[in-house]
Amino acid sequence: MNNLFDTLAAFFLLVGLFFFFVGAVGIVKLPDVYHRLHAASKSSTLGLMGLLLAATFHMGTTEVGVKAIGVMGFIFVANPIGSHLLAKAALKARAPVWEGTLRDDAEPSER
Amino acid sequence: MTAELLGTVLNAPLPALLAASDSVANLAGVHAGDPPPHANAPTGPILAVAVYIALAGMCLGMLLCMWRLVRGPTLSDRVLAADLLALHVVGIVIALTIYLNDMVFFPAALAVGILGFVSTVGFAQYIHATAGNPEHPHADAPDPANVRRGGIPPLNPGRPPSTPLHPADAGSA
Repeated sequence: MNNLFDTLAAFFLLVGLFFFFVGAVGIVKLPDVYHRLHAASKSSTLGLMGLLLAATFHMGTTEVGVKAIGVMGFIFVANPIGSHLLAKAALKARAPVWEGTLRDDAEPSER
Repeated sequence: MTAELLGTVLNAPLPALLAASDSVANLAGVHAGDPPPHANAPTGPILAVAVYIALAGMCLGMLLCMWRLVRGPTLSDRVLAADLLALHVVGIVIALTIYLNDMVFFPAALAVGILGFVSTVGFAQYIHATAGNPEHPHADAPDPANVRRGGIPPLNPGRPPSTPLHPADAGSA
């Protein structure tokens, strides 16, 4: 039983690491701010969920489960809000757009 | 047998960590002979390998974030990199919880997450409020030359020699 939970924890740990690393590579490789926001905000939310599941499976106590749910709920609310605010600020400050962008739906008044 | 050997090799840095925590525990009045709670962590070889890979991978991810933090052409890029850096710290704290089999650092994850969110919101409000204001110039200022290069400006963007630095220099130069 212990072995099963260890394997589950290792699996979710590596899943979380995968999403975190995809976000970190995306923030380096993608061409403009909006692409990088897309990479960083979504992948890190999922990656953190995997890591918290791993910690819950490994420790196996109510204490860590409740705290993990608290962190998860906070990150699920806070991360999209922060990314949205940052995207609006980047639009307002006219951060450069990738040259391959096909259309720009932002209102001129927002820019 | 192989698994035992692997576990022994992977747990090699633990004694140094335990020695460091012992000296702190002495100050806190804990008996020196007592093994710390994480000394006999029931971490199997699979999980030990996974934790080491996760810690190493997230440190690598932090290096990538720092590259964007230093390089980032606009202030928004730097703020985004700092936000992702804070989330990597949260991830490392959670992986450390599994590694030490101890809950002591877990509340730090929530604290760092809240700090990262608040700093992101603060910087976003700053960028939003000072956009286009010449008294608060930051790298988000519109630069048509950057758009043609895929949004990536040159590492050391020099001013074209034809444009004078100041209107007063226009006649002399």
